[in-house]
Amino acid sequence: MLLTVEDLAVSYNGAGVVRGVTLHTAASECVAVFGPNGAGKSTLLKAVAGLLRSDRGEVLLDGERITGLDPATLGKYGIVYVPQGRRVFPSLTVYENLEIMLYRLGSRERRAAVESVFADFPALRDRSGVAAGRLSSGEQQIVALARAMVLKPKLLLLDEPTHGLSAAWVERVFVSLKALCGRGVAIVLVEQAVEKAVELADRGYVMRLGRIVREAEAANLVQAYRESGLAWTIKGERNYELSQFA
Amino acid sequence: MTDYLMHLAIVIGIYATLAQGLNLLLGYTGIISVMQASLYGVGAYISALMASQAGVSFPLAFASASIGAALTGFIVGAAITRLQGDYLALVTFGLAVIFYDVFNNWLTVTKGPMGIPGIPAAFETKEAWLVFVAALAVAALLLVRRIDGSPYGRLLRAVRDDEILASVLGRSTQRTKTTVFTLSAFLAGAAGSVYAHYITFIDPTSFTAMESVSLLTMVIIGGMASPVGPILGAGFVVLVAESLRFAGLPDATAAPLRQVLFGLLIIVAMLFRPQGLMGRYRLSK
Repeated sequence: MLLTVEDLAVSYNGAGVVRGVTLHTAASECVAVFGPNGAGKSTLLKAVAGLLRSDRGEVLLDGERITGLDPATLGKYGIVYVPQGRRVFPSLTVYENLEIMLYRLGSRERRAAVESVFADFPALRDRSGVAAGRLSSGEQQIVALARAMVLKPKLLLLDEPTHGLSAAWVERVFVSLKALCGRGVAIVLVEQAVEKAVELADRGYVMRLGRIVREAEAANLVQAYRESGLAWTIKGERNYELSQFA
Repeated sequence: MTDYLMHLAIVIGIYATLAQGLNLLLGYTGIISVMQASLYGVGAYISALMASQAGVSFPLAFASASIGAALTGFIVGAAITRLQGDYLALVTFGLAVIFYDVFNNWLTVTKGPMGIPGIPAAFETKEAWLVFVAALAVAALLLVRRIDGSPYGRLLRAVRDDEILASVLGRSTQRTKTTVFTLSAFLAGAAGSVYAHYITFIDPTSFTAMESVSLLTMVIIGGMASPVGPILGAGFVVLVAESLRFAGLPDATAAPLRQVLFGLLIIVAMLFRPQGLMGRYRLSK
């Protein structure tokens, strides 16, 4: 198993937000985590990414304990976290945003690494000299994904990558994510665009009040979500929308 | 007259070097510091004491002042850079007050308000001073230009843009801010040493928080995150301040009026040209 989270608990000022979560991800597997606002999904991801200290529990990568390691160290292990909302450094160009993490490499190696990412995200090549703050939200999210890929991660932790994007950009972001999955990168995805996430994920977990209440294969996720006690309203044929507790 | 113009050019060169250090903090990293004059003072006092009491040569005093101020900047930076934004600015203000009090009250070392007179001049002619100060200002410019185009410069701008994102991506923002504090203090210490040996007298009134506000004015007017900006800003502010000399005002009026003018310049710049004359960055609202 690539990533194993065992009985992880995280609290803010004594209030438990993640209460004993256990989940796992195999290499090259895409796992989605669903749940209503306040379920603890983002907190779970931040704790795995080393941004929050856990009260108890373990995080293992390939069986090695990585609990509590900081993001820089986790980056060396091949774990890259892409936070919600904070997408780019606006005053840096697209190119600079992509190479900002490659400070340990020489200029030639940096250029090669960025070029390899341009091959995966060709639309960015034309925008490489543009300040990232001038890009649309969707383009900025693509830059954020590309920046994560520059580091050649084993595991991407994505916190709502389509938050605040138009439907067209949600589609494009998921096309990019699908391409990443096809390249052997494991993904743990927290996402509100449930319909698209279900299409992408191999497996999923449903969280409620800080706990995993269901785990299912992708095909059974909708059913699992309903059984978890959360309403999942269907609009039209394919557009699902999360609502609060039933 | 030529002497006076050369004097102005030398003062502009000293302030340009000092403002380059603040540009690294404010322009490139987004740190508002009102203790740059304190670190300038640390350099000035180290150099003055070494030269006038220990009798060391100017080059050694200059090097010691730069390194001593850098060390002070490193210690201060390591202690306070876990703070961000307004909190960090307030702490630098508190430190500026503390440094001023130390300069003013540590009588056995700094001689307090009496100051240290008779600091040996490093050069005998204004021409020699001008060449040295110009070389120093150019060296500071080249250093900042080098940083500007380097991965380290991009990291500084990344920290300025979004410190949390930079840390999420695995960069130690505290270490980054500490190093830039150290570099900035190094330049302040060098400028302080030159000031002490040029004027040949120092006292605490040259190293107050208000002096730091003048430096902030230079960086903001000249343009933040531009290597050339602090030179233009220093020239502009020094010449505007000097112009009051010709207004025939008594010193008691001219000095506070100068501070009012600096305040007005910051307000006007913020309202009408927040990126300054040459800047690529503006403080966010």
